[in-house]
Amino acid sequence: MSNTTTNDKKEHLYKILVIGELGTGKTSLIKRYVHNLYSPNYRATIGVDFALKVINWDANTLIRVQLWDIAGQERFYNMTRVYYKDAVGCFIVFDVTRASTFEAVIRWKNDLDSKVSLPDGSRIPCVLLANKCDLAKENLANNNEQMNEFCQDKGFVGWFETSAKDDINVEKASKFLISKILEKENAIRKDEEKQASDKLTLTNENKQENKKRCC
Amino acid sequence: MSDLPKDYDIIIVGTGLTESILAGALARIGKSVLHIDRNQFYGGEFASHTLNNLMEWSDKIKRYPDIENDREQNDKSCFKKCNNDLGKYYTEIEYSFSDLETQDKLLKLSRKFTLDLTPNIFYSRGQLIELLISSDVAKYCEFKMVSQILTLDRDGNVQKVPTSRSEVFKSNKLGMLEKRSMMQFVQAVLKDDNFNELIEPEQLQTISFRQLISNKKFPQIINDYLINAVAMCPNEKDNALKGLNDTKKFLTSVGRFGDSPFLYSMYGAGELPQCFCRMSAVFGAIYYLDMTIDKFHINSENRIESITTKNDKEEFKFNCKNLIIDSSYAPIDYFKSIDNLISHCILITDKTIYKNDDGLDHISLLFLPKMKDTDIYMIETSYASNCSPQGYFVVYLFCRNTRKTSRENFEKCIETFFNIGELDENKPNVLFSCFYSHIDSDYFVHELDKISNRPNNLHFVSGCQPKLDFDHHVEQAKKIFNDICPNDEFMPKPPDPEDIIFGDETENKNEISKETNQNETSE
Repeated sequence: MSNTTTNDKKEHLYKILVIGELGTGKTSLIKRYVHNLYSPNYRATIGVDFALKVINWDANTLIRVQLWDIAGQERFYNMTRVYYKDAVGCFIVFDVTRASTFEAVIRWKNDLDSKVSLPDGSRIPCVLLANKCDLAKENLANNNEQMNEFCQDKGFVGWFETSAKDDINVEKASKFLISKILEKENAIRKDEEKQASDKLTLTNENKQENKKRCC
Repeated sequence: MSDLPKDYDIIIVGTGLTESILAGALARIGKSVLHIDRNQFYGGEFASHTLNNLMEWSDKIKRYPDIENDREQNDKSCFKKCNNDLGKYYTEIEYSFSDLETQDKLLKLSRKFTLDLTPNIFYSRGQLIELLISSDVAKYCEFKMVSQILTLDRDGNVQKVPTSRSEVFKSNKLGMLEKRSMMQFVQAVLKDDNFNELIEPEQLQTISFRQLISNKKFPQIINDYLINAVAMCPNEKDNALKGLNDTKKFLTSVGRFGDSPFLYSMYGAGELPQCFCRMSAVFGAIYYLDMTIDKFHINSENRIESITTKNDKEEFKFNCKNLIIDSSYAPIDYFKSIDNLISHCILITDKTIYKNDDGLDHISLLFLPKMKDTDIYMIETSYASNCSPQGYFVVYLFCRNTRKTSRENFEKCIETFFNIGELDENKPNVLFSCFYSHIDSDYFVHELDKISNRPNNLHFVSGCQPKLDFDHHVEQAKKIFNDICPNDEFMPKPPDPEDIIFGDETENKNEISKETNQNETSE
């Protein structure tokens, strides 16, 4: 998304999508990651587009991560383009206790790749999360080799077993995805320079407002 | 789908602009909203398509069966069957490529084109832009300036109209005196709302804007600028008040975001309904696309109780307190054939209609008064708005239909600007063209509202109008919102996600219950 440099410290703003079937624990993962909270009884998130986490990546880099949860459209793959727009990374989440949520992963991945790509045309880095690994598995994610092969096949940059409840691998998976996004940094920045020059986002206090207005 | 809630405050059918604004406004204040569309895509009549999808869309409409046969089902009075035949709404759809080679080339670039079914541009101070800002939905969209306002001069040449003060003074088309008289007129328009310096109050509605301007004895070129490019009120029926108000809207919009009064939505106008739908979804509305609305049920108090929808396999019934419905879904026995039509044309070309020396890609507006007895709006977009690949241009034409076919309305206009028959190297070539007309749904809704036994919790919404800007839809949405929720605020600004700190209610409750448990055990 946008990058600014102040006093040699680089700042990045990254929009990351969190998608997957209903009840796979997307909101729990976001809350665990951003607020280090867990509760078994989340309701659908009302009124909020994204959760923000600010990360001091290294001495010279500050990263603001926007995690975009999916809203009321989620049941039926009816995402608006607005949701996908400008995303630079994605988590696809399934629930290891429900095979049907794993079967839907491919559908989500296809939808993602058909609706958004990095400015240079390449696919956005996407990490597969096998969530609820604290619970009994339905013989899905317990074969590492198969999972690696699956990710290779379907174009995931990697996969992790996670548990929002027991705080397993949530931080690690995010670090991994962000490092993959940073590798793509050049592809992302190229667009900023080329296109954004005269793009307008509207706010009430526009700089031009007080300029002479007249025919 | 079986796990979907069955009861809603409001069911909205169609994801066009007015419906989407309403979905956003109603979900925002906590109403439960189910929002449905018969198409797989958002926007209905307002959608933007890739080239391939536009072709699929028109092929599909041409294939719609005549559904007169379905009428026999409609004999019970407790429900009304909805129209699902878009062939009743759209007519005269056709598209073609200039040749097979071009077709192959363009189809390979299909996804780089964003083609609007309802193209439009927005006044910087129009109601839509104001609503986007006040509701914060603006954070979802991006705009570009419409960088060239063009007009066709008396010799048939395209001229760029100066819009800012500096452009007026730089213009080599205007003499010093002309510049002064134009500036004086501009200042008088901006001075007050009654236009006292320009016209007697009793004349505001009795003389035409054209008459008012010609009374001022401006040079011809200024007359043309003011009537055709600024106010866009060339007709005898456009009174002085309308012309002056439109002039004022134009002038006050200049300078808000740049030198031009108009904005164009990046990635096309089809983005706008989606922006409102996203907001609506964030506030809990449920979206279901690709869902056919079959019929709605009316109770003994003449209120709609529920609707039945169906997909390939199943039928579902949802209850609602209010139903908002795009007029193209109106029940078959309300549906009439209407003679008032609006015609559209989409062209893909290889050159711009007005070559500027700056070498940049532009977005242009050209208003063509009385082009074959109807006023035509022309919008040309380019790579500048991300709506076409570099080197290609998309031209939209729209007008009230006064002819037999949609194509006939635009024939003269296309001959004027593009290479047809005789080759002129300076003119753009038309590589692809698509024509269609549809019912003037504003007129249709007016007719629908007159139906005497219409259920009183049923609200019809109209589609696009041959006008600039979408103000009309904002007004319509506000009116229906007010009918349903007279005491609520229309789309207040939502909290900024960066300001929200999660204090989770359920978490607290759990802790409390844990504590009480502990207390109990300790006792």
